[in-house]
Amino acid sequence: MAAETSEAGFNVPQDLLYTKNHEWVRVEDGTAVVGITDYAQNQLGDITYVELPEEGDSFKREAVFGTVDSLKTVAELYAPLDGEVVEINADLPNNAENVNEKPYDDGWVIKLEISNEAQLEELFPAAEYLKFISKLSKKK
Amino acid sequence: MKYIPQSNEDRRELLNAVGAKHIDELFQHIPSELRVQSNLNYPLAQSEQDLRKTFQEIGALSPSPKRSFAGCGIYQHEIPSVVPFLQGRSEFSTAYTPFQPEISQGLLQCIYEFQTLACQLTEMELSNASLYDGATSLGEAILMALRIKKRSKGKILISQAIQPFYLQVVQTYCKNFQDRIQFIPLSGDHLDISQLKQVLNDQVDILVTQSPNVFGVIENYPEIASLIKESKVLWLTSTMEPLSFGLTKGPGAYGAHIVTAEGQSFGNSAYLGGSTYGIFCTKDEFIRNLPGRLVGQTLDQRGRRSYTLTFATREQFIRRGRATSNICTNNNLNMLAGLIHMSVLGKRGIRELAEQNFSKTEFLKDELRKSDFQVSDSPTFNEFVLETKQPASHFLNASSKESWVCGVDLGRFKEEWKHKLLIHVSELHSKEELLQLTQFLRAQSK
Repeated sequence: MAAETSEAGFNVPQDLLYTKNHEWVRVEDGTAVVGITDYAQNQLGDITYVELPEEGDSFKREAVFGTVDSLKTVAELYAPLDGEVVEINADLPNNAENVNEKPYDDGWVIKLEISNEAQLEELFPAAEYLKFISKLSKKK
Repeated sequence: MKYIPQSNEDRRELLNAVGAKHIDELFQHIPSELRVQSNLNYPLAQSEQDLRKTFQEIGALSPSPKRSFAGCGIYQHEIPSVVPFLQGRSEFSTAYTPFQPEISQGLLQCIYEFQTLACQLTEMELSNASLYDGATSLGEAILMALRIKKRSKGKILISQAIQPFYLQVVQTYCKNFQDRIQFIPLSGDHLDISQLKQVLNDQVDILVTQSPNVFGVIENYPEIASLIKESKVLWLTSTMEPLSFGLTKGPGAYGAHIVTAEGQSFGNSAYLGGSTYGIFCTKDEFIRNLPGRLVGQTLDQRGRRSYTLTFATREQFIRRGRATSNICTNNNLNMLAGLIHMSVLGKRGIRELAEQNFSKTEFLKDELRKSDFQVSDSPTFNEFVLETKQPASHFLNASSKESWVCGVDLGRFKEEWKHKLLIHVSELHSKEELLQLTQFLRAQSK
């Protein structure tokens, strides 16, 4: 998997799409696999729990579909696209560390059925997300 | 000495920063007629001697009754001297959970032990560090059940046999979803189970019951348990007198999902409505939806047993507006009195105390029946309703003239209950006092 690395060392795979809320999207046969980025998991610290939606739940873009608990906070997960949940990573609540260790792989969270293809156009490609997080790091 | 930490210069800077000219501008959103316009009408400073006299005079306006049979949510019990002695130790009475709570291991251990006893008493898996009182605990339980049910919009069934003050608090909590509430009517002095059976369907999310209920009656939990067993309904229970668990099974044994109780009758006085604390228990699977603080036991770096606040990410000081509850403290000092009282009694002591309360109450019921009074056959614990010919208020007026209280007039809640006198009997009442009460009621009934 081709990937770029931000100045601060965060992994940003090129073949994924991103949101300003730090979710990533991988398009696979009409479904969108959704997870949180390397940058996001690093900001949260040790993740202890992931609260998942149920298969069949539908979300509008930007709606909260779950939460991630870390030792220091709880973060909301926002749907990157409109769609129905067709699959959840049911292992995740018991193996929450996968979000820290393999955020783009075993740490995936849900699969959404894409209902509005046009929304994909509005997500960040890797290069833009890289710029976005570099700016965020500089602010601090 | 005035303690005002900011200088005038500091204040000017603060006001500048928010773009206000005068401090009054910060209170503009409060209508002017609600704001205090002049100085508060306080008397001038008094000497210690005068101050003591003033308060003694105020105290004399409402003397403690010589004897009381009032319950209905607050229960007077013998408080062993060890309770106020230990509770009053400075380590407890001055300590607030510090911002690094683990520095107060003793405080956390008390909370952990309270949680353990609360679970044993209610037969539940998980308890928080206590809430404010029994009524707000029930309100919090409903909010918690709604969180578990997420987007479901099903009905909330509430028993009408719940103490009316509790119902008022619950209705305040439920103000924004009142249309989901459906009351289950009474059948005599308890919840109408056949009505419950009729309305229980898959459109119901939550069932709320109280036992002993406002009439002191122990509800038929085995039957309710069998009704909800196969359903997806979350069953929430309330108890005003947790000492009753010394004789009855805890609601957890019947499959209740959230169990709440008023803790006052363990360790706390009954003056002016008691000093209260809420008992709040649930099942492990709902831990992430629990309101309030939670203490866990763990090992420190050197492998020693230690205690820690846990699952704090649910709480307001971390999670702000999305916290599980706006309660991020607990009623520690009152809870501590309860913990000490329960520890001193022990499992057997709690049972013996409960037996005393129960059998003295049954003794009084029998005496009253012998005197041709009408007393329900429904099972009760340490409180029951006497049906009176004259309004119950008549008896209360008569007893208060002699500086004692013969019970609670349920007519204060509902006109249709005005011939119901609720009488509470505890270990504090002697046989003579119970016979005197019977005589008094007989004399006043003529």
